[in-house]
Amino acid sequence: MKINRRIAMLIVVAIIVTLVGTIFAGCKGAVEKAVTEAIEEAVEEVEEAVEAEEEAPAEEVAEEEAPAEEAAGGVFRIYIHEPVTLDPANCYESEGIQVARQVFDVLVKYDIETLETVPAVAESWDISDDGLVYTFYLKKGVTFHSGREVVAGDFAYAWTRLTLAETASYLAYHAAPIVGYDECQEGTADTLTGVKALDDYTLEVTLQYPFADFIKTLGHVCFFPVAKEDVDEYGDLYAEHINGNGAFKFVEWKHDQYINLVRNDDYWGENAKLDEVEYKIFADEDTAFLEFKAGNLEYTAIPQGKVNATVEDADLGGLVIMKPQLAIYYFAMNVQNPPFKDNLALREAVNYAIDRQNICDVINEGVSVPATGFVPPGIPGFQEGAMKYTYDPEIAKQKLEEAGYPGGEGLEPIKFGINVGSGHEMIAEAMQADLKDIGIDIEIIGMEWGTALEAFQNGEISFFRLGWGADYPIMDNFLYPLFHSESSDNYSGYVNLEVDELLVEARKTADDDEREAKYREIEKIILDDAAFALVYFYGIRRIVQPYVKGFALSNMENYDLSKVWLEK
Amino acid sequence: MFFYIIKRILQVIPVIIGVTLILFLLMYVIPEDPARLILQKGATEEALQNLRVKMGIDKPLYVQYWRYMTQLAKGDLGTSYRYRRPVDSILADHYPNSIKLAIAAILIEIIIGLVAGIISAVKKYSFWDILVTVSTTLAVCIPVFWLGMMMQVVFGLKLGWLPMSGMGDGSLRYYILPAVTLASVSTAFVARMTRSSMLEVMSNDYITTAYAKGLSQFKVIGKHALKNALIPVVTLIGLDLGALMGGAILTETVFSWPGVGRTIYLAILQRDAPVVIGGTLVLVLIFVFINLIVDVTYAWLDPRIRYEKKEVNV
Repeated sequence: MKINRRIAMLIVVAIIVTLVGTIFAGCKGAVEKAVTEAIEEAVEEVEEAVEAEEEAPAEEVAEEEAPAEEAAGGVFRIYIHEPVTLDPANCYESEGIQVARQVFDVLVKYDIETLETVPAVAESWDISDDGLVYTFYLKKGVTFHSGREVVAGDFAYAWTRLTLAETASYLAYHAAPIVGYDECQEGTADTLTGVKALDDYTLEVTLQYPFADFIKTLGHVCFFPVAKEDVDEYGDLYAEHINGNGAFKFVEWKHDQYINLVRNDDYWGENAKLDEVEYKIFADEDTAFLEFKAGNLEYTAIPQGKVNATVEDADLGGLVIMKPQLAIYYFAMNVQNPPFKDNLALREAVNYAIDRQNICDVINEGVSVPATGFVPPGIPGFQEGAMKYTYDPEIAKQKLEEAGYPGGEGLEPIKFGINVGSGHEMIAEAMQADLKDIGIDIEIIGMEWGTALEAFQNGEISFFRLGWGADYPIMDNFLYPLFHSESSDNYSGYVNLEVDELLVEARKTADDDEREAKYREIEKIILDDAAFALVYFYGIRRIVQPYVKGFALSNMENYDLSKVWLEK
Repeated sequence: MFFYIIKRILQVIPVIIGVTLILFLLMYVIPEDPARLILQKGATEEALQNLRVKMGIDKPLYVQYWRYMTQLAKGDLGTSYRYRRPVDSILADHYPNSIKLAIAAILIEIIIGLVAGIISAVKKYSFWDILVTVSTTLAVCIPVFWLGMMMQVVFGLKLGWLPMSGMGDGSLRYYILPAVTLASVSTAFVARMTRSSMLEVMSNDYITTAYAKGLSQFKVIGKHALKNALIPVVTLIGLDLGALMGGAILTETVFSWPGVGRTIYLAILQRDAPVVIGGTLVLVLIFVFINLIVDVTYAWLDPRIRYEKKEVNV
């Protein structure tokens, strides 16, 4: 009995010491570090073990049969979050888009490497001299997975469905240049009159105004063909029964678990090599990353905060894909209200005061790159160094003096609205510190997106966080929606009539080079107004297994799995 | 007993009215326009207004509420703003998974919690008692997500014994890690509650009498002590089962378990009112039902508890 007591006491003491240690360690944030280290250690060990195990059988296999170049077969497993929908008419977030792109093909698509627009279901097209009428000639023999041929009427139906008020599509505005769009949105028409199927293989589209980049917008998910009979049959549940014309057929969407696709052997193009694609749905990036390390995923995201460690990791470092994304993170200054109203020097002071490189390196772990203008690199026509503002606290201080607030004297704290979550707080705090250095005080106010937007438009806050990602790889997409005074995406309320005029003019310019030059000029004018503090271009942080071959990722995070094979 | 059960079921009606009313007020008081949530980018004012009319949210709140309740009476929980799917289909996809996980967790709670509690009460101040006391303290202290992550790393990644996430093919092995994680805190509570309740019961005269009569310890504890000590424990387990069935956000997130907790949590963040209201309503019904079962169990455990007037008057 006595011995028992002693043993018990010893165990109790040991447990208490561990417990107290954990609690104290937790206070210093060391628990996280310990967990990370433990995870990394465990991962290393397992990987070593897996490698050791795999090496031997791999040799045996090699002896039996030579590994075929571009071997067919296999299942490609990808991490995604639960998509909102797979219905092309409403596929607005990256998760649904990446699935839908494997299942559907549209008239044109974007080359993964160059982002150039290349023909897909459309074999060729004509454009009328006035730039208003587009006639598309469709490929014959392209079929839906149900077996029925895709005809021009399927596009006319899908585009009408996209624009009808009753669809309440988040993406309808992409069809805004087409004749009849306004009537469909207002609910006064039930057909998009600007889109006509002249016969099964000829589609005629009439625009409201000349828009030279129109073809380049058509690679968007919302323009995918939809078979009317599917929508009639499944109604609200159509997204769970999508029937496309792409390289992979949709099989099943088990919500919050997986989405399965299989190869379409009747594909109009070159058949895919993979047998299946399994999108595994995770609630948490970290869990997916563990599954990747355990070899249960072929492709996943690197969790925020783990980028540096992964890049430096001897085994994982070489598998990392990091590249700039076609998206920008910026802050709008309220030019309709003081203190930014009619004070260019103050706005410039803010622009010179921000240490963008620091934000990219420290907070974003080098994934993002400092913004150099509104249009990100990768978009045809991108101009290097469009923005003259670089980090220079000295110039910032001079500008502040010019603005009438030497050393910040006389300037009330500026109210700075951010929508809470997604790490905006850290970036706002970094900016707060930068601005404090030159004498500008800002007060950070966390609010809901809608509330913040309203507060900005009412003038209650003077500074507001915004972001924009490319819908299509054209300069217009970063300028017209955001800065034309009548665009519904112009949340900042920026008005410059000269810019309005030039934007419309640029859209009408048929020659690519000439048009891009005009957009570059517009970008400069907007930047010179300094109504925005641009921070960075978003970056992509992904990782792919070494045995995955033929995998390429575009700056829009698009990939084409029909080209991928597994070498294992 | 039959009338009592009927009465309790009828009591659900005012509960539903109360819950929907409160949720309705809460979800609609916040200054977020559901039409903006659906259309956001590029939406013109006309398109927004059309949608508001279509959704009926241009009407006064009481009209909207009446509309919701009449639809509810027909069994229609509405359509999710975000997913554009019927709410009942979303809930049908997720509730069964939460219920299955909750049952697995409750089984662990009952088996390990009760056994540990009984041993620790019967062998008061022994090694086992101290071990139970310390390990329950630990179980309560360790954050659920941390425990989950550690178990994933150890049993999933390092040892490769168990799957780390998801439901897979639905086999038992997928339940082990999330269920243990989910049950950890409650198991500790059940053990502690059983221990103290048992100790209290065992100090009663009738237990001494039972021993004096020469009954075996097994019989004394199993038949006389445990049954009386279980009442507070059953209450605890009942409440916990209700809570677990509502989903467990942390466990579901760490293990990517397709349960209802995360679904409702995301719906709250996204202001997806139909999902929040529908999901909560189903949860309330489950709670009411479990409470009913708990009350009926009381009567079985303690014959002195009677719910019908006639018997109370006797």
